[in-house]
Amino acid sequence: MKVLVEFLGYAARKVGRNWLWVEVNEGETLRDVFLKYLGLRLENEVVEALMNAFMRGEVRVAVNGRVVGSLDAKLNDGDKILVFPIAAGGDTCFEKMF
Amino acid sequence: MGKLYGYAGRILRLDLTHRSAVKIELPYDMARDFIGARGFGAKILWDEVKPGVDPLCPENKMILALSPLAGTAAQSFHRTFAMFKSPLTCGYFRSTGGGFFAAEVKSAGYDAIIIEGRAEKPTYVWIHDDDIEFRDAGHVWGATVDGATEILREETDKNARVLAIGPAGERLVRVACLVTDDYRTPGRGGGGAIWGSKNLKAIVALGTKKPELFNEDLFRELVKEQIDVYKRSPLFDAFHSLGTNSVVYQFYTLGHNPTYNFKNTELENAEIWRTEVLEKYVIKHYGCFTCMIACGKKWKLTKGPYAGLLWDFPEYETHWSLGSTCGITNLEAIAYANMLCDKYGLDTISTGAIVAFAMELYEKGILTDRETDGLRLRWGDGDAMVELVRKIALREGIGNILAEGTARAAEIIGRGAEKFAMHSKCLELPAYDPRAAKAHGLSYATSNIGGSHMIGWNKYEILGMPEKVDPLTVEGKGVLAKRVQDQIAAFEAAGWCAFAELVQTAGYGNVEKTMEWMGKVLYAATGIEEFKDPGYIWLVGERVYNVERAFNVREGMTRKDDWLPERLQKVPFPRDPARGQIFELDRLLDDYYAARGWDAKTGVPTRKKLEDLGLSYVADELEKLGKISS
Repeated sequence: MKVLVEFLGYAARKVGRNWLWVEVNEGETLRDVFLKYLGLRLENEVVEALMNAFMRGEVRVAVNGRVVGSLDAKLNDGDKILVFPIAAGGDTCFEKMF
Repeated sequence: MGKLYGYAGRILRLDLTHRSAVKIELPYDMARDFIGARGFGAKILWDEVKPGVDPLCPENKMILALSPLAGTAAQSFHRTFAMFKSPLTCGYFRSTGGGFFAAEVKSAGYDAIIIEGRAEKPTYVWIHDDDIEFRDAGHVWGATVDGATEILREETDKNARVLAIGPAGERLVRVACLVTDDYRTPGRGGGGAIWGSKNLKAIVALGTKKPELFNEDLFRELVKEQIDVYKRSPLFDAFHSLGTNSVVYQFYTLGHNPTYNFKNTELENAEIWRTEVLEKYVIKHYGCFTCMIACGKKWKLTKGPYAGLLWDFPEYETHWSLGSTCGITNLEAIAYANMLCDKYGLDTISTGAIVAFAMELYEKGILTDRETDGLRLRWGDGDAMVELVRKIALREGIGNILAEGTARAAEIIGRGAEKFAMHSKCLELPAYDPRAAKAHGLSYATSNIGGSHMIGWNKYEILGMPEKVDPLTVEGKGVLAKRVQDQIAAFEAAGWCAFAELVQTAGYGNVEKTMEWMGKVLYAATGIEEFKDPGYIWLVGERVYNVERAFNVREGMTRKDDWLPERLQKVPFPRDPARGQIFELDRLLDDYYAARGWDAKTGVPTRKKLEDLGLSYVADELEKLGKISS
């Protein structure tokens, strides 16, 4: 299955791209997307920083527009995942959050 | 009674009919019972504007009121609050804008200005400390806000602050607004049309006084705390760098930012609102008086037919009203039309909503080229939108009907147009869809000023802050809507900026600390003992909310007016994340009235509720009019 992961604001800046398609298996979750698949495409410290920001509530994750509380949400083919700071904008956020 | 510290201690009554100005001492108990700003407006409107008054006749009044902290070093307490009977809703209205005007009025020595009567010919009022002059405005009548402001400053003082109307207000466009010299706008509700009906072009103010604070040391300490909390707030950087533009794209994804006049189908090219696109236009940051958040930005356009524009940027609501709800993703056209609204003095939210309404009527064939003088109002056409904004401002052609607002225009046009008028109590609904945020939508329906997003802006559902609440559930939403409305009424009685409250609450991580801090800083400035108790501050919020409601009840409003368009009640929301949702109005209203302690059938506050809030005199009058039983 393919899911689209989109990044906003300083999340996009840290990752270095606005979006990418990720190929996942049936039954896999958001956690798999972050730890397994993003880990293949991005540097470890970037993925770690994103996870930590998520744990601290500074970065939110929404699947098809619904903000999720945990990364255990199972995914479906074509899901749109948005990784975004609570409000985005400006270079100063970038240094502070990461 | 005690001495009043912090406040200027005076109310200025301007009688335009007789060109007279009277200064009244601010009563101590009014300050204690209503704090200031929106609280003062609610109290004075209840006392002085009798039911049935035509909003555009001389008997209507407008109260401009400020915080007791206006002009002090407290951050973000320097807004102008305008309260009046609205020509749109025919009920109580409060509208608010930032800038420097309020702080200047405080410096001149006034906590509130009551505007009444009607001038015989175009007039402006020049307030210079204790000297008040009614001056001829014939030479600037008809001019845009910026044109008039420049001339008026030349003839008064270049450092004076100005609040003015443009051609739209002069032509009694029902969605016309007041505009400050730095283009902040107490925008909604048609306040501009009221000034137009009174032949009032502008108020120009300059002052030299400073209020005396009750406890300078405590005050200084609390402001230092405020600044620290702002700096560590997770929301500060975003507002500071991009203002309300920091949330446009996310909100669209989360189901807000409704498209196509609330049809809410997917909007192609919505990526245009990503922050990295919007920030490229910014060439300058600026703020209001004593506010370090400085969420104001200026844009410069370098391409397309509107290249060369250098103006205030469109806010979140404006990106929606002149953009998404019209299916428009042309940022240049949005920015240009935003500038026209500032110059002509038009509420961007209502104006854009009217354009979207007209576009849907055009799509359905209810409005044709014949009625629009050949202007093809197709969805997504930014240039057509710009032209229609101009026509509305100047009441030209179809603009003359649309200038009445969507509800009245629908009545005039007929042919089923009312199905597409997205309003509540005749105020056009702003950039959130009730089906995607239920408590927030419940505030749209129950708001004392009609379809307003700010009267009950639901940070819990929209931002998930200070705690996350699922926006799509229905349980407990009556209590949540009331809580948010009362908190907002309380901090608006204190004259605080809503964005600043968000920043500070995000910094503390909870609302209770914010309200406690606010009560303390009000006490430190004014010495009023009651303010020390945060429970009392919340009570004032609920009291103000109920006085506003009582004003509307006196005007004849009941449960039937707490209404939302059929599209929102019956048509399932078509896109994620709220796909399939409808707005369960009746169920949510029942829940809300129970939470409010109001009559379930009529939505009228009960005598007991009013008495608990110290409003027996309000209950007595409503009983005399047969609106409540004893």
